[in-house]
Amino acid sequence: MVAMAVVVAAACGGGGTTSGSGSSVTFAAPVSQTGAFGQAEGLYTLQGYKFCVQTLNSKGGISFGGQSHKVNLVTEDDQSVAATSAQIVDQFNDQGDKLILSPYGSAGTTAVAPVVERNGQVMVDSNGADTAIFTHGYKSTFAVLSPSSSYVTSIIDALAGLSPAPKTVAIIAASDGFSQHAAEQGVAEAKAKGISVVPSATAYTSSTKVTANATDVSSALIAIKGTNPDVIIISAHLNEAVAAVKQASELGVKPKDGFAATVAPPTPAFISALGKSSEGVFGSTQWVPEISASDTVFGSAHEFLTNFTNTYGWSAQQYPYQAADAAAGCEALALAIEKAGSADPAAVRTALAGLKADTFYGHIEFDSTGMNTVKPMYVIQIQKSAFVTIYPSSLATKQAIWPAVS
Amino acid sequence: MTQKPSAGPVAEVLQGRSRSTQAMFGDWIRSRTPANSWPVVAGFAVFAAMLGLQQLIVPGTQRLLTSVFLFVALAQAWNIIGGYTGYASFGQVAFFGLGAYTVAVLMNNYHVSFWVALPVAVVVGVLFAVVIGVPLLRLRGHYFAIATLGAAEGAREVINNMTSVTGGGGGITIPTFGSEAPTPYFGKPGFYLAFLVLAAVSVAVAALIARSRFGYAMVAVHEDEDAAGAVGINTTVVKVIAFAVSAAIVACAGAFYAFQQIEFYPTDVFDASFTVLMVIMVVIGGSGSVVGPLAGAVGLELLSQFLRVNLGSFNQLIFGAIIVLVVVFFPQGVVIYLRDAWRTRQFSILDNVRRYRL
Repeated sequence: MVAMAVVVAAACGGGGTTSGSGSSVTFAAPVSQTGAFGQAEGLYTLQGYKFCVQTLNSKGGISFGGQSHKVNLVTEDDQSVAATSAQIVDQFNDQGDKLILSPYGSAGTTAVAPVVERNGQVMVDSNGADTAIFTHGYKSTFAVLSPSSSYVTSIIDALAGLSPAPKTVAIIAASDGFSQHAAEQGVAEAKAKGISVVPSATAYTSSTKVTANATDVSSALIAIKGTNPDVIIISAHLNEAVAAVKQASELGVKPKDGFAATVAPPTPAFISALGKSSEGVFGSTQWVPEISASDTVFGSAHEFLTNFTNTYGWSAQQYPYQAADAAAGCEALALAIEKAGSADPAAVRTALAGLKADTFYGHIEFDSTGMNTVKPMYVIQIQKSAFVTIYPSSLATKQAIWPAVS
Repeated sequence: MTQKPSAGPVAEVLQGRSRSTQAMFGDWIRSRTPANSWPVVAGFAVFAAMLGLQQLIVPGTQRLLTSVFLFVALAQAWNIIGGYTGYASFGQVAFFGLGAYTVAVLMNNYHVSFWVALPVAVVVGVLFAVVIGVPLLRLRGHYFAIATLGAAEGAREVINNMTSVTGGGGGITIPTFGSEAPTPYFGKPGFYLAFLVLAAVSVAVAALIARSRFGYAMVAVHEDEDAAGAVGINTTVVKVIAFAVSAAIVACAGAFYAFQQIEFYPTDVFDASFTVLMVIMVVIGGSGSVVGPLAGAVGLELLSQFLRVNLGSFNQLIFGAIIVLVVVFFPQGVVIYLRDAWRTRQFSILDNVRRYRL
């Protein structure tokens, strides 16, 4: 009994300073340091949060109430399990941590959103793009990133602008909500652009649907094999996209023009997992350093890239955009506190709802459901192991290699 | 198997032929002595202590302890089929997911109260256990383990693809806010109580079964199934009932878990790591006993949370290493080691390893 109480006390110990007390403000985040997202996406998110807090503090912290307040970041590993993220956020609440930054991914964010709502906390969502999160009328969750609906549509738009434009695409989609919603919108966009989806417009819900986080997608590739699509688009996360490109060559499934994928290509892990096979793959991304955007905290988009990649030892050619999402989420929270003139969660919530900010990440503004629908998405292509922005064409630094496969 | 059944094979297995439930309870009361009453007294004492503890801790810690209670129930459930009956099921998470989805679908699509949905979830779990149990429990050893693993994967994919009913991979949400909620949300103190009662009931069920005629039949099936059949135990019925009782507890746990989580995806509630944890907790605590899974669940869940909070990215590595070490040094389970060591006054761990490994 006593031993149990001691362990319990220890397990929830390590407490943080109460937000608003003294001169520091606490941002609390469940992060994925282990499990499915531990080695890549979760790590990038954590680095983004850390980099933001570090940068904010180096500039004197957040100023409100006539004083400047340092930011204190509290994180805890959620093992890439959504229920654990939710549990952690409840424990943050006990410690008085009301200002929450989202865990990586839609599943975790989905689980955390109702907890935040019930506890009177407020959350800035940096990496959960599923539109379903915003359909429940939650008032305390605000996403800086573009919603899931843009992930495949931006790829389709980029492909449609290439010459010759592809006539057919196949869409492999993971079974999770985010990937399915993204695929659904992509099919509609393809139809609008006159591109036909093979083997059928609804295949992403049946024959080309794969289990989320699967490392074997051969069944979907076999369903595509006879249809000879110009492009294979993978609406999924890192594991499935890596598996699709790898297994396609093993199974002799060869798209005429190339591969494209959401989420995965603009990550260093994708290139290191696939090596040469990653060449020419297109990927939709939330942020590219070419955008003309800047703010007083991080400077321009390019300066963010340089400083972030230098701090964490990434190559400037292979930068994880999830870190930019995370830093932007953290920055939005800081801006809202400044605007509110207080770290009180209700005041910060009101400030976030009315926030209109131009940042290194682009324009941040939330609609009535909490989504940032103003910011566009971008498309990169991997060329010589570097991310090259190719869409929109106004930001393109190089021509797309097309067809991307020979 | 050629006996003349008087009240059907199921009733016979459960009660024996000559004693009614009332008579059994009377016997049990009369046979109480200070020496053999301590498990019941200790059980009530721990339950009361947990109720008291709730008054002392903050809500987030209550939530942490609900996950401990959840695993106590799951480990007890697994122990019934995997420990006592000796059929290592790797598919128990199927019942968890079905329980969760039954509650979520009923509450979300049909606006049914949680208290109505809960028994339906248990029934769904039991039915699924009987349907897959009758064919699968004919398999033994690895074959049974693999078949149940497959059944769980299959169940998840079915839920995943019934998009119009379950929301598919897009997940499902139980309405809990305002007037949309069919049952008011319990909140953290409410779920603490709910999971505490669930854990207590699971321990009580396991303890009652273990000391019943049915429990001895389960152990007989475990020890030597052919011999058990030869002495007149209807082994098929014993196995299916054990599987169904286990499924009932797991489905009930899944139902409460779903309501607590509010929003979840098939991958969350059909996560094979639930099954793996159930197995590990039982094996480490000591299978085929009541205290073993209890100690295993409490110890491992608290340890896992402690490591997660304090060790950052190495926590799962260390957790895994500890599990390996415990299994190597206490192959029969920690509780069984302690019990035997206490009885024989031989505490040498090396001797213990030799005894069970050589």
